[in-house]
Amino acid sequence: MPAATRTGIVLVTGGVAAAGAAYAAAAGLGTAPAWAPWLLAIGASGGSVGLFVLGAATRGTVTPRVTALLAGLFVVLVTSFGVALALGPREGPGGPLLLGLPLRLAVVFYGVGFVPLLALPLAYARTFPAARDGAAAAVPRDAGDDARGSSQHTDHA
Amino acid sequence: MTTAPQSAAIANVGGASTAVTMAAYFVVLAGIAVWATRRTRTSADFFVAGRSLGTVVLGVSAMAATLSGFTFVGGPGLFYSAGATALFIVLPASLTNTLGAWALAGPLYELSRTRDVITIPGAIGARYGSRAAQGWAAVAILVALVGYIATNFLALGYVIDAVFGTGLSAGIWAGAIVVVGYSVAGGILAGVYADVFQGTVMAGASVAACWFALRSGGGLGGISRTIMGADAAFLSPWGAGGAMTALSYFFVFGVGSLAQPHISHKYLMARDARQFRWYPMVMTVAMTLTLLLYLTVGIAVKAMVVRGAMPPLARNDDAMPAFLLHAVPVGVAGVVFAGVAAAIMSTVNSFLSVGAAAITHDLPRAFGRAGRAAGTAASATDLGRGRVSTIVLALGAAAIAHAPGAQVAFLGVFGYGLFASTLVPALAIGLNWPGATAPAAVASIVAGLVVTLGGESLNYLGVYRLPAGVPWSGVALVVSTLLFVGASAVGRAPTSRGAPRSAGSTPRP
Repeated sequence: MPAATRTGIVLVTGGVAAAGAAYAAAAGLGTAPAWAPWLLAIGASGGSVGLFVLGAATRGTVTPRVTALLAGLFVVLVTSFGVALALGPREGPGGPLLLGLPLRLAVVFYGVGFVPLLALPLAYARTFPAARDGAAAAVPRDAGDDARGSSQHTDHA
Repeated sequence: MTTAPQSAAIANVGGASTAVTMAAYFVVLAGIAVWATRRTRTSADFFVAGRSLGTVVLGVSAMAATLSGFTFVGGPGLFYSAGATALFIVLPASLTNTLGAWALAGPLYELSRTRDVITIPGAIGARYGSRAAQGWAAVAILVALVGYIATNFLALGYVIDAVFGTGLSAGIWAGAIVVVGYSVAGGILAGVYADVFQGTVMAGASVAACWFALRSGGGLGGISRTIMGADAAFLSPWGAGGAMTALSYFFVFGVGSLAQPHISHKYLMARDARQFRWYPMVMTVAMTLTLLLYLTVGIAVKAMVVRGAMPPLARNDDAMPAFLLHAVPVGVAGVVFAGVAAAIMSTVNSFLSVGAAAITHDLPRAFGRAGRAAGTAASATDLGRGRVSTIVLALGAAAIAHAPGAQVAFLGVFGYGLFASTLVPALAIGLNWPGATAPAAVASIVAGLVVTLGGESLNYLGVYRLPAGVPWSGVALVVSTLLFVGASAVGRAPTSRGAPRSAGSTPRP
């Protein structure tokens, strides 16, 4: 298995498991402990970035630039959520605004909502010519060559 | 982003001008249906638009299918009541528009061209060489779809009743007939071109509503200052719902976005692979414009209530109609109403197409009936079956929409989570991981079904409720994904050639 695919699987599995641990802790204790949102923030970010890594491996675009982009994406997501979790409440009357929003909300909204929004579609388009257009490298032909012919399927619903 | 259904009547604030705008909107839809019907001759035309779509049509139609009436009515209502918590339903869109193309467009396009795949369950079946996986995926999609379609018909009924005064039941049936009319006649071909028109209406309505929303409160900073003076938690980063609820939304709507079959289905319709290059950019621009309403109207209404410019709302879903009444000229209100109808109908059309394909194509194959090549003349029979399936599915959903509101809401509320838990592992991970196995795919789909339906039923019946911030959709996504990866890792069977499946043994196209 290519290293990128292995990394992607580890990220997705680890991210989802972290989210699961946060849920299990909340369910077991009856309420979420203080660390559960941190675990969920890291898990949700890791799971999403892991899917990007898996896709990059399939597209054949695991270049240093793409690696840096996806590492940066993970850092931006976790940092934005982390800042909002770490800073104390400051949304009262006269609280600081950043680009029209209270500071902590602005960090999440612009960090998670806008930075990837601007960067990812451009990165996808820029890496497109290098990709094997439409390639389905992860589809083993010995597993599905005859998917059209139901008589050659190996199991039954 | 089809989440909570519209559950209460909508006030018509535009009167006759709204009715005229809506009537004009329906006339355009009828024209598109007539045009598309003449071009629909095979099941490939009906289910995958003849594999003929370019970048703009793909991007705008995917956006229109993604955003339902919730974006225009339920979303602002949720923002009004829960504050920034509602943001986390749409925040993942900054990732997911690109993530879909990044992880799914290539593999699905390839399967559509090399294996003649025309459905998402078909892609899963081809990936694993498994009729069981294809069949279970079709079952999961149908279970989730029926509730989704029913809640959207109910919402459409409210809109039509508000504009034309038909009464709710007649509004539901009238809306269903309109959607079924162009869905049956022109299939997904009519659907995607209607989506482009509808998406344009939605974006225009959203931009207009956003402008009036910001103007009503003295800009975003003025709105924030007004609200912060009265309700600090509202604009805290997690809103009134708290951090766990907000981050769970981000988790389920982020990772789960790859499992929405009515969106992934679009990747099977591209004219050629080059159409995907700027698809994320087109979809991102279209979605950003269309989400402006969602992002601004709820907080604008909250600020107006705080200032005393508007009385507190009796129901959260009144946020949009109240905003139209207090802050928008009558002529613009008509366009926004058309935008609501457009959002609902574009989503329903996509769901009907996916559901009809599951009935016509995937379930028969799962039970051993061989299909025909999608683009051949022989597939004209499948085309007829597709049309009949669309009618049956729509009639069933319209009938369900007449059930008591709580039951309809129950059916609609778990749709997104059910797609996520059943299809993310087998589809999004499996198409990008050669190590995934067919038994693991089947196990993950079944686990997603059982946990989502079981958990939501326990919650609905009041037998057991998870703590605040822990949704059953998130739990089911965790269970199905870990089961999929674990079962694939321990149960990797040798291939027919005796070699384990791995990237190294995977031939490159």
